[in-house]
Amino acid sequence: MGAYIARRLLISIPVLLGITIIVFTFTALAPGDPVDALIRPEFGNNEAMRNAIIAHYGLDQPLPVRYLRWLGGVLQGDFGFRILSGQAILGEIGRAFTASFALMGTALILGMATGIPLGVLSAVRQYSKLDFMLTGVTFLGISVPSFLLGLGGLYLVGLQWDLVPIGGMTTIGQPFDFIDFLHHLALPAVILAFGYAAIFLRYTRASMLEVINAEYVTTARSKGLPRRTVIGRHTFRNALIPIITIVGLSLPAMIGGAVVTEQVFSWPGLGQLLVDGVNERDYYLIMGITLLLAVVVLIANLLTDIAYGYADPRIRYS
Amino acid sequence: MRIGSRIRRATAVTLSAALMLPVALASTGAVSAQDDSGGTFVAAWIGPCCLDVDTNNALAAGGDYHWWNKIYGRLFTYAVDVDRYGALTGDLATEWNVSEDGLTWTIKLREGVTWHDGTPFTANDVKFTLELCSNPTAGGCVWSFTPIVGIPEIQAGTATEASGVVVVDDLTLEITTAAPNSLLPDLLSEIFILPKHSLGEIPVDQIGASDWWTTQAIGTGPFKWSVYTPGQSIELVRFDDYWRGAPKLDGIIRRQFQDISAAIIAFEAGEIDMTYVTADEVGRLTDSGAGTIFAGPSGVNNFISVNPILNPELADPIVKQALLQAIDRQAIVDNIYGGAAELVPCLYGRKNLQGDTPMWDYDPDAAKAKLAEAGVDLSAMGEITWDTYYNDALSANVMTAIQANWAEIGLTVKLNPMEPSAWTQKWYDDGGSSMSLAGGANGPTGNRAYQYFHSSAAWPTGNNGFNGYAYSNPELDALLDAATAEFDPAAQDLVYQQACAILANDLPWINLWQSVRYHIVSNDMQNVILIPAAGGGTYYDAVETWTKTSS
Amino acid sequence: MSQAASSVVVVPTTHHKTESPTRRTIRRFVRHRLAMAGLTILVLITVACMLGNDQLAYKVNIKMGYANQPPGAVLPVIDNRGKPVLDANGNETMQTYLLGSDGTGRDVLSRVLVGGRVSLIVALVSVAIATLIGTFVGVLAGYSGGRIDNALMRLVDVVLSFPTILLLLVVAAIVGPGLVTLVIMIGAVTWASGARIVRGQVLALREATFMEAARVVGLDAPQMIRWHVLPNIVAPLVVFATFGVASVIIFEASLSYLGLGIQPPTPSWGNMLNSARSLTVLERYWWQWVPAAVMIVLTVLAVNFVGDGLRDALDQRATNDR
Repeated sequence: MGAYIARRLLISIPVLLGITIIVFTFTALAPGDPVDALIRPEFGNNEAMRNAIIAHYGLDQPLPVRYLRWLGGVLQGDFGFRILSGQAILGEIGRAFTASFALMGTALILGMATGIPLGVLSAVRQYSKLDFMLTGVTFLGISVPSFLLGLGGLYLVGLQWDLVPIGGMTTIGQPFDFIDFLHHLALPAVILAFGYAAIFLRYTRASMLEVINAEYVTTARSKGLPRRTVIGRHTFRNALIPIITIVGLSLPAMIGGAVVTEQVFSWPGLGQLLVDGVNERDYYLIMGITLLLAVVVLIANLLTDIAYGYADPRIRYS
Repeated sequence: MRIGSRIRRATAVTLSAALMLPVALASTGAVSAQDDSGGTFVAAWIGPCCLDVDTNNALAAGGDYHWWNKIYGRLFTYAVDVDRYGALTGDLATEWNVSEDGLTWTIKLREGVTWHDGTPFTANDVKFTLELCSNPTAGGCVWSFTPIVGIPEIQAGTATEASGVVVVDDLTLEITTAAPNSLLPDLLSEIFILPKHSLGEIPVDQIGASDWWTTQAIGTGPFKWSVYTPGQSIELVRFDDYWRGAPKLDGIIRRQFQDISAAIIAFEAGEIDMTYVTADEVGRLTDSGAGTIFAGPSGVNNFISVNPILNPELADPIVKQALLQAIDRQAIVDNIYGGAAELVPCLYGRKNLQGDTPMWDYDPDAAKAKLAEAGVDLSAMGEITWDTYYNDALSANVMTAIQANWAEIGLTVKLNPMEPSAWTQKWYDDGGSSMSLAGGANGPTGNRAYQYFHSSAAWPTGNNGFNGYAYSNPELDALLDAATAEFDPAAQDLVYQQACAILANDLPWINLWQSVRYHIVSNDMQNVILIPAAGGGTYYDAVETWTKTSS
Repeated sequence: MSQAASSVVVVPTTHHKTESPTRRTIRRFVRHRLAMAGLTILVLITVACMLGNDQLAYKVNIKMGYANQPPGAVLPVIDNRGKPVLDANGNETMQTYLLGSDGTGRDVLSRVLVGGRVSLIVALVSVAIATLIGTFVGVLAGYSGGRIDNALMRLVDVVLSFPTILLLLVVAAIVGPGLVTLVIMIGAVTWASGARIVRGQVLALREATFMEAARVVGLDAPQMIRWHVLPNIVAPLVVFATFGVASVIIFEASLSYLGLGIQPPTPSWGNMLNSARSLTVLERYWWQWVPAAVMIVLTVLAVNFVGDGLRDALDQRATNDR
């Protein structure tokens, strides 16, 4: 296993470079450049100003030169500064990542804690009233856009029932208080958790159903083992595979995966930051976030593959 | 010639009677006997005007001046009259007059004004601010002081000091213009004065991206910087040494919201005291009595631009007039805007600048006649792509309605909402857009037409036209030049009215309307003066008299 | 509906059955009540959408306050100038807004039906593309292992790391907006997660006992994949497809600001839902967005039940022919 991990980490480097080159090229191909985003036409224009901005950010340099400038900076720990606000990108990404991670991480855990047990229950009682009810609620949830859930939630829980604050991460004007932070986190996390719960419920149910009907389970049951032991020991472990895959796919979603919810709740996360970066054609910001996203994807997939090995020891990688 | 003040006739705002629209009057400053100080005003500065809390550069923001005016001062402001703007009054300036030849202005500054850190305010700060704004390496400034001697050289990058701005002594400034320009005080009224002793320490090319704006910002306004929480909020506290007297409010908090509906919910929950409100929400909020609705003309002219290079047949003014007459503007205003917009005959939204320039009324038969007369068959042109950077539902409905109107005279258009940067590149850089729906500021003075329609303001130096094309009408050029040299307000208005007539005829922009913008303010607040507009804030809003009853 | 399992492994190379496995699959599917219900719903929705009234869906009645009419409003038909449209006898023709009208006076029912054309095509086709590519890549990677697995998974890593908004923006600028572009782009972005899911299943399957048994019997790789691997990955694929359909319909609506989605005045279920961003619509004019949401739920349910039926029908372990 150690050799496998080492090989995977080694190959990550060219993969990361490849991703950054492709994304950089795409950013250059996007219509409009930072100057177009910065200088709004209705306020008149000034050629010298455009040229100054172009010179300052090296926008007239050839693409490979600009890419290497960025790469060189990154290798020295300098991720550059945002074009519009001048803030250091590393700091911005760090702050936004913390906010996103807190939100999505909580949602993921809540979603798993609800979705997986309910999925097992659904499978065990396939086509029962409970199963249909859960199916209905799940599909209702995923058919409704996140802004609707968010606004609806704020309206109902925040305004009508006065249970949660409306938007933001903390109450302004007061020193940071963890309970206050949790109070602000509650509603957006629950709304996002709903989506995760739906996903985990369905995938767990599907794979549990597969396994429940498998022949070795009937063999175990015919041996007289109680149902709970059969489901616990024999079936669940094998049903784990898709769950592990989904967890692995959910980790990168923490990087910019919940833009709309972040917008509705004014949660200063990475989703909004990436959208801003694309709108402003801010190369360095887009590249910084992409690098983070790529690293998370590679690590998540590596961890997933390792976890497969633990869930099912028969799985081998050559 | 002594110019002390200008009387501006106001823009009448016609609004549907269903909307309650009290426009707060200027406070006379009478303070009630009991101590009503205290409280924090929490608000969301959002909507089409504004950038977010992280972009705090007061020179580069194109809107939300009614946020910046809490922190910074200006040389002049407008008093608020019954109908929007009243007289130009001094803020940091106390007296101003111009020499006989109309070229040199002597401006006396107010004594006893200090910056938030206690340093006295002087004329050096004004000179510093004007030069900084004009410097192309400073990261962008939305105002242009080209009429002042020495400024164009700074803008071109060949100088760093403006010879036309002379500091006579600490409280006296002399500004010389290249040609007589009666609108110089109006031009100067827009910019926020910045501290030379503090901001001057930073190299110019680092100012735009500096964190001075978020961590050390110093102004002469009634509130001073306190806490900045990235991505979330900015907190201001009362500045006790404000020259008009210490404000009643303890502080002001600007909260970040990305979604207008979320801000409205927060307002209804009592978490914030003010927010921008879209026109379609006004009815619901008025019915609920959640607060007081403030309305005002947006100061933005919505128009349709046609590319004469890509569409030569549409370049003919007669054809453009036909296109305009085919649009039932009033019905769109009544039904899609709910009455919250006002038709305009040309760029200007203010009645004193429009004069009696006729409006092109809805008349599809006349439109067809004009097309026949010009020999243009629109249905033979095929489908034209109509670009816009407006991505909201209201604009989509407006464009759909116009699309239906134009189908009647044979023109087929395909709606194409675009992302702002992509639109800028396609329209201005490439000149590759056939037709666009856009918006442009229409004031505060008639001289706004200069940057859009004067031949010297051709793109990319100015905002006239786009790559390869600029509108040019020598008659209009002469009128705009004459207007700035005219020092009598009534006579100046007449000149602009003639300019309006030419613009209504040539239709370089097919002007549609000026919409109304709304804010809502909580019932806990008193003495609030607020005019919602894109560049709103050049008026005196008496924020130091605002009070909040905590409930 | 239960699947009584037997302990006999069905080995398809013996041809003692009286009908082909394909026919048996189809017959099992037809017997699956929920699956047939789902299929019926899908067919009904599709047919209804094809029959939707174009005129009413796109026409804008901007006069006389026809906007925001509640469901059931009956109003005279007028032309663009506001004049009533008379029938052969000179009487006013009336129009019933069965589901009310939207913000510019268009008939909501017509818009829901016409909007379904776009939403269904985009969702079903792009999810089909994503599922096909994802399955192919996932099976190939999981079954082959080694270098092929490695290479394909690194490709998946690249696709998953790409910021979607940027990709869509650039492609829209180069290729131009349009239905085909949209469908291909969404398919090209979504297949990667499908591949990961499939590959995970295949990795586990490869080592299962019955697979070894089949290998011993002498099945080659394509036969193994066709008879043993594919039926056993249908379950998570059904879930993948179901979620895909729902999220693509909604995702498409958020693309309109990039110039890639469905442009006005064309309706789609997604952009009808977007009108609920305004609290006034959300609270007061609920008929402008609820029908679209209902249609999406129905479609998603239908897809799910069809998928369930497919999974049960393809399940090789059950010999209980019901």
